Amino acid sequence: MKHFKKYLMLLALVIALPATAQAAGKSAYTQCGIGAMLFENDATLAVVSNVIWDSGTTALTSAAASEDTCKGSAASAALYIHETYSNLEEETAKGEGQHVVAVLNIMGCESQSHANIIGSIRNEFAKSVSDASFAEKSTSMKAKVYSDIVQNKVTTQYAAQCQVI
Amino acid sequence: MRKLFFILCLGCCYSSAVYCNDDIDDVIHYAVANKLHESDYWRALLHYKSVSQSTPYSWESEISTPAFFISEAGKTEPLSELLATIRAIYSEPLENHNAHAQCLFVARYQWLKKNIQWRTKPPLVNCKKYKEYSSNGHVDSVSVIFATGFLGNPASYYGHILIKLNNKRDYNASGLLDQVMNYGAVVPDNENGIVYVVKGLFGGYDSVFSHEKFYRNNHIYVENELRDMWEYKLDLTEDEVEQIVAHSWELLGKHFVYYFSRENCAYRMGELLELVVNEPLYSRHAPWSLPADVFERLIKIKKADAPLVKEVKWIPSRQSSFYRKYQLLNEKQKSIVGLLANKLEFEADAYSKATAKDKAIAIDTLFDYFEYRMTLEKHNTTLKNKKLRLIRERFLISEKGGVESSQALQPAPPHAGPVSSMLRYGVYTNSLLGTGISLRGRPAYFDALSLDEGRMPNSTLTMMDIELALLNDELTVKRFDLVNVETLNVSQTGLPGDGGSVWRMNIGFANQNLGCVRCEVFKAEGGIGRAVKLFSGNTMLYAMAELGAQTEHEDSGTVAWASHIGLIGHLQAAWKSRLIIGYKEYVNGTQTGNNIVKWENRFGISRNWDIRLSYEKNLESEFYFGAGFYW
Repeated sequence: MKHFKKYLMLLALVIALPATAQAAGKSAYTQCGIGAMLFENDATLAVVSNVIWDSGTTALTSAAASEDTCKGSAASAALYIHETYSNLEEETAKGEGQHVVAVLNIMGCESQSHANIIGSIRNEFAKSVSDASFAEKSTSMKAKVYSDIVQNKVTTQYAAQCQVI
Repeated sequence: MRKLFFILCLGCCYSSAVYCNDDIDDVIHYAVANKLHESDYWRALLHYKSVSQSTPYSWESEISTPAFFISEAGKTEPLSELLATIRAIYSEPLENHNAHAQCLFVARYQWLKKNIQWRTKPPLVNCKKYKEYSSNGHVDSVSVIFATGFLGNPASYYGHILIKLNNKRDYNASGLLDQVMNYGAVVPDNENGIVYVVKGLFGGYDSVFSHEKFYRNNHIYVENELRDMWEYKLDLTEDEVEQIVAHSWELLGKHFVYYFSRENCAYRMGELLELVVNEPLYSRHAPWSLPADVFERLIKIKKADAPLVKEVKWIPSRQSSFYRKYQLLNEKQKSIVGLLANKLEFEADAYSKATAKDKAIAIDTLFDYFEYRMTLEKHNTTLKNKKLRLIRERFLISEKGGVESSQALQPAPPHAGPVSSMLRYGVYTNSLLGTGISLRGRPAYFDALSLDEGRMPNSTLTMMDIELALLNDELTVKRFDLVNVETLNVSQTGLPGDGGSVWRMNIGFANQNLGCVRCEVFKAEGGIGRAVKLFSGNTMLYAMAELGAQTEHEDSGTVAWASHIGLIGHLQAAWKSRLIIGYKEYVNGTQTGNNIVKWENRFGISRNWDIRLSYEKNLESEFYFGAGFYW
């Protein structure tokens, strides 16, 4: 993993402070990627390490942080959300877009329900975004907020429309 | 051969108790008798290359991973590997079915099934991992993706190739969740730049196939590196698609030796596609392979009189997406974008009194604008905050912005752009030296006057560009550019932070000036500057300051600074021209500074030829006339 150690140390310092308290229950966001492999019991570091993706170009490095280490749709969605957060943020604000649809597809949600689910996620995420503290969050933590909203929606309000594994 | 056959059969009896019977012997006998190991397809699956051109041929696989071979001698003995594969296919699966040969070498198994009539079928094996990889048989087509050149990494100057396995299920219409094959060198962290280039050129790195979901490639290329991608969807049969999927699976994690110039992504992806495309997709003779050449060949191939490429789709980078959206705006929307790009004054009349639709469209355009700028200005936290304020504002607008087709205002695809290799014959007359003839050639790629389609207009990217001159019966190397890169990134919108920068880098050697022969100096030069767009189209005016180091010639000095202004654009559709006026002076030599003037012209709009006419003054003056041919 490119610059793994260096980034890990830096990001740990930057992110660990504001993100002191993770939910006690396991978040899918910390169950995938090398984060879960290395820091199974430390949600913060797990999230941090999940940030460390090779930004490679033609050259490749090991594919340690792949979906092989992420089992289940919730974990796949968390990986996906982390990677595409900037697109998801925009498309959720717009109320439509292919990246948002792809999240719901990963979660196994029926296409007929997509508009309603996106609307519901939009309402919830708008509240998070409007909070003054949201601006202080790192991108990975913003992605976690988004991930938690999505998973909450598809496992509760829209559980019948989404066959979450 | 017969002895080998019996030894291998004996091995069979020990290794597969249940299937050690006459049927397996029959299968092996059939395979040997029909010389399946000599088939082109078997050699392609095993990546055998001939290492001896004399009869009998000897073979060696280009794959260096031992696990790719079932037989210990499999790397160099196609027959041995074939027989070992048959035996392994018949072996009883252990607890982990995924480790069985039928699962590890799916393409080999599929091919053997087609080419051998077995009386006893091999055992049933549940290849769960392969099924996951192949989306449980839901891959219905294959696309070849061209990621345009990236100047942030020399290995990516000429673009990159990916192969996408398209999942036919409706839910994946965007393709973001499709499986993608990638191929590249395995480079250690923090590799020194010079070491990187040297090892890349001379086989110092391993390379490997890997796979990932397309959304990740989309993120890396389109978002992080601002590279357009082009998806070429192939018209393949179900069986052909299955062959590609199966062999790509076999190749995952397998190591090759990487050579930047030839055995690179274009070469390996070309090899993979050639399993089902019965025409060469890379040159068998040239010492280089270029991604663009693979697409050049793909687009020309016909299958039963129909094009092999059935669809070409543009996947714009953030930058391109922003430009496209901006071009689609009406004047009112442009004024809103201009207002908010400079200062987020949502209370200003131009914005607050606009319709919800206009607000939505303007903000959606600005999302791309800010993301594009954030990519270039990674440490500018102001941009990040502005984007968040826009997001908050967008949440207040329920109106849809309107999803424009991504194909609207689509630029010309790569296969419509310049053809990579060039040879140019010319004649020149020098005010001091007389008249001579010249021959210039390069393997790649384009210069400032090349066709603008399918590339960054007006820019230069050439490598190994050499010009020979014959003057007064003396043959000399007039110039040689190891690499010459020049980007003229003019602003398309006039908004803050959008383009306007130019830079160049040149390493090579050339005559010191136009007043001497055999006066070559080695040089490395670089420059930066600004450009502005003039009129419509791609006409631009730019200025650049440069610094260079070179070997000395007649006490010229070794360090020089220079500056020039340039004007480049089309005078007619078939006439592109560039005028450069500059000045160069040495910092540490005794020679005085001198003015440099260069006026170059290209005539013609063909992809296969053009005419060049130029005038240059550098102490002496020189006129040049040449005809170039491209292939």
